[in-house]
Amino acid sequence: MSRRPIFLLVLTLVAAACSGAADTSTTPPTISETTTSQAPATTSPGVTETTQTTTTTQATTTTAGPAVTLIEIVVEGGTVDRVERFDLPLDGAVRLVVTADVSDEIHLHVYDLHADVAPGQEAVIEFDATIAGVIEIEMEDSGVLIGELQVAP
Amino acid sequence: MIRRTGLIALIAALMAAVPAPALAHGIGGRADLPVPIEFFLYGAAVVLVVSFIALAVLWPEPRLQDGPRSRVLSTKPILWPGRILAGVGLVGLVLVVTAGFFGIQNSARNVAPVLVWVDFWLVVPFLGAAFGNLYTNLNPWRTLGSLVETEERPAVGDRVGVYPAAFALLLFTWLELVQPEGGQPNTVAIAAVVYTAYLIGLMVWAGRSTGLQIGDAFTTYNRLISAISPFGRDREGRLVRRGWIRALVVLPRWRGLTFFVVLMIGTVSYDGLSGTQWWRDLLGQASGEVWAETLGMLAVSAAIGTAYWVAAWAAVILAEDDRSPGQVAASFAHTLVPIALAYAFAHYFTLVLFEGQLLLSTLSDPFGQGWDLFGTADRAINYWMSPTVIWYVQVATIVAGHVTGVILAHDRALAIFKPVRAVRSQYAMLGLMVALTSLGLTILAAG
Repeated sequence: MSRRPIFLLVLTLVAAACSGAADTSTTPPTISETTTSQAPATTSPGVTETTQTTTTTQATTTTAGPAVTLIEIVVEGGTVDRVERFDLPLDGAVRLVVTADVSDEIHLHVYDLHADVAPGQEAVIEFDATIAGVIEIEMEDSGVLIGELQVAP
Repeated sequence: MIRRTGLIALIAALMAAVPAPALAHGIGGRADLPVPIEFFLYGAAVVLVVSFIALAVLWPEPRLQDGPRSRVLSTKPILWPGRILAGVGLVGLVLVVTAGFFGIQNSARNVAPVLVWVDFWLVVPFLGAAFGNLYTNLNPWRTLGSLVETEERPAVGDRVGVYPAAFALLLFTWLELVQPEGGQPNTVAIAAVVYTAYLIGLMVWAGRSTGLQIGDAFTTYNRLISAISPFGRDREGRLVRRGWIRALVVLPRWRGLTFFVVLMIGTVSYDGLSGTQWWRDLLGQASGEVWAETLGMLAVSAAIGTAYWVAAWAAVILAEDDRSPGQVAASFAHTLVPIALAYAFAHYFTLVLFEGQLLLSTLSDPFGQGWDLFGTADRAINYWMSPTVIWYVQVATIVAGHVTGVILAHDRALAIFKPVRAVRSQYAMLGLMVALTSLGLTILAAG
């Protein structure tokens, strides 16, 4: 009989541990700044960035059909305000555009793709997201992490 | 006290002097996908059920405390495999230093980073957990130390314990997880040279065995992890077969062992936490700054240590025992080793499976000079395991590690506390284990 209160105490501790843990793991899903690609009639596909409409939505919702998911990252003062994590569907086509006020080399890890960036010169990396995981986008020279892709089935 | 404050100020000043904010994770630039929440719930539930059954019904008497009953597998000491391992260790150290300094400065094309961050740091202990301690022979500093002829000073070992090794472990993991240049070949080479000088100094001062015992982080790390293995060696150097985890129970209680084990769990927890959006938002603008991440790593380790101390304190109260919480914490330190291994394995086994493949391409061209010694230089990483399988392995590992910890703790409690109080004392430890399970799985879930 004397064991019971402690038994309950442990249950409470356990419940507290579980619920506490559950709270942190149910933080809102990453809302990523993505831009829906709406190809304009007047420009070639290579320069579509200037006429795109920016919407704040989850990347996964913007990829109906064969559309390319467009991810834009803006580097100011050599870094980003917040390292965003962009949700992407496995095997989807992606167009990653980085604008920066510094000169550096953008490195998309795992896919191991590189593109130079400089003031007035965007870095554009186009690829199919065929490898799952959380993947770093890094400025190679300064070593600054500027974003992450989360590629999931 | 003044000395300690001065030391903290010095460390803070050194950290502030290091520029370049960035996250470094050794090598790779890849992390696993977050584990879905339902996996986490199943995992915690299984730990609970198994722990309660083990505690209440199946295990009324201590069974493990006598240590392993070993069956000798070889009648003579095994020499040649050990010598080959020693050779591999020496060649590895030479490769790390030469390739790190003179090879291409690209962590994916130079052999040094993959040798250190994947093979030396992960593969050797993981193999040790299954097949017995490989590091004793592999240890290049032990081999170099045979050139040193100094009298052993075991009294030094008793006095300082494994504290120097624990600080070495902290520095090593800091280089891996916080220092932005940690994945760079020349950084790895510098670290290897500094560490070699440090260990040779210790061996000259205290003798070879004592020097490695007190100062080599990897000697202690591998000894702890490989005590899980069902294979070991007896005093005569013969290969023996023993029960799983039984050698953990009779590990020597070096001073600072609790500190060392807490750091093993704390640093891996930091690695997981620091990759989450939650952590980045917590640190805000300081996220990625070396000083902030360093403080974060220390804070996470301190939190784990505090939680463990509180559990030990509660065990003393519940058991109505007259030991101090510190003594009880030391007495249960070995029960955290399976948890530390589980954390490390769940976090890093894909690094071994995926980025570990870099060994094939980089060994064929160790300096990044366009060689192709084995015809594998152009081999790309094959990310062959599906995310679902990875999740199952991660959750199974975390759960198995904690169940093992609960069993070890229960057995130790039966041995040291009054029988009627022993099970009761374990409610506190169980609470800690469940909290650690939740933390481990939550980090995986939050990704």
